[in-house]
Amino acid sequence: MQEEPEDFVVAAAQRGDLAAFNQLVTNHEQRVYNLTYRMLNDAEAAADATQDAFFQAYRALSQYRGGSFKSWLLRIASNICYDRLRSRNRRPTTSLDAMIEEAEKVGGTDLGLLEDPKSDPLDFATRRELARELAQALQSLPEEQRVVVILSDVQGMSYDEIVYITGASLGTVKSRISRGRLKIREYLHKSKELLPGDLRQ
Amino acid sequence: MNKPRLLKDWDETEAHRDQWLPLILDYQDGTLEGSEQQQLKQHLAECSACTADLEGMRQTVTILQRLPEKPAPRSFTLSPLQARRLKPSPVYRFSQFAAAIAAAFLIFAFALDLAGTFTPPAPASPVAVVTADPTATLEPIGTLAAAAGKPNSGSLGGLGGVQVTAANTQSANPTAIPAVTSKPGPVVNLGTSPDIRLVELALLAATILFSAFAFMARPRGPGRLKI
Ligand SMILES: [Zn+2]
Repeated sequence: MQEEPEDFVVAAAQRGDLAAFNQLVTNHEQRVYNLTYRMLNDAEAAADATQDAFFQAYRALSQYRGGSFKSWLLRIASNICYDRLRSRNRRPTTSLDAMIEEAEKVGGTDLGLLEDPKSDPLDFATRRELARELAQALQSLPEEQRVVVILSDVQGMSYDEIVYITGASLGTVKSRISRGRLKIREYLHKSKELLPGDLRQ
Repeated sequence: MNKPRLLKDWDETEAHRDQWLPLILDYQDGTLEGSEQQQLKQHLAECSACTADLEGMRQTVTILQRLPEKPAPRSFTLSPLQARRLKPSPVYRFSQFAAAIAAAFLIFAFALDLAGTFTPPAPASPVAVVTADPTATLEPIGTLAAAAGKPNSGSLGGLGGVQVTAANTQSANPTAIPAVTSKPGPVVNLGTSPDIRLVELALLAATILFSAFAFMARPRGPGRLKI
């Protein structure tokens, strides 16, 4: 969204204008949802976390002091994701197998990958398979690597933004990005035949 | 990059990566310059592991960038009721806070009253009388009350409307033998307990009043809120 006008919208929201706040929600819900979805790998949990993020943002609105509102929201959202993942890990019923099963289920219904058939020669089944693999590859990363890889490589955010969102140093962010990329590469390496032709070696 | 078979190999691989990955990432970003770029290029020419890492990172980025946006399943805008519940009116928040504070003080004052510590120490009361009682040391609360020459049962009776639990009465009573030398309890009570009673009544009134304010100013409307 445009930078200048959004400042005015944020200011209006801070003065208590609910319509202005909802304008901000509309502007950013897509991106917030995608972060939570890629982090949690579960559509329902992601919707829940997204709603929570906007609830928290609304309550903490007076604490927002300029800068990128989008980054501020994503910071709240990523913290919520950490909490969710932590409580998910505490649940004894969620074994690694169950999580992989979940990842497969979600990956299977994630038909979004490489949606445009004209721009990509892959057939639908292969794309779906690849989406599933990629979802699992992301899930295989430690949380702190997962979040930076999603922000950097899926959402295309800058290092500065990622530093702000994660609260980690630039060096740490960069190290997590490179380590995460390599882990994903290794994960996908096992299912080499799934890679699009131009990426196969 | 081949899978290392030995732990030692793995350690060496990781140490090697620690050294070169930052440069490789900058190189991938196109921000590696000057001598560092020369240094890395030279290394890449003779190190297949780092070359594979660079290639792997490039491939991962390419494929992740193709991961499309997942459409949000619904709108996350806030309804007016949700907004009110998330940020209740200042009157509501203040009233709730004030009611809680008043209630806390009420409990505190009540506890003090029961313990009898609110009674000022009797100036000429012979404390020795109390310590002579063998059970006295076991019940410091009771001894205090006795030292002040004020049987607790008396002060409790004076509270009137305020409820007294069995436990409180029990703990207050056992050693509270009417003091030998000081005046009878009721006389002392007349001097001290009205103060604490007044405070207690005021706090009770404040608690009820602020609770009522909070109730009236509470966020209302249909719908539900998960938070
Ligand atoms: Zn090397």
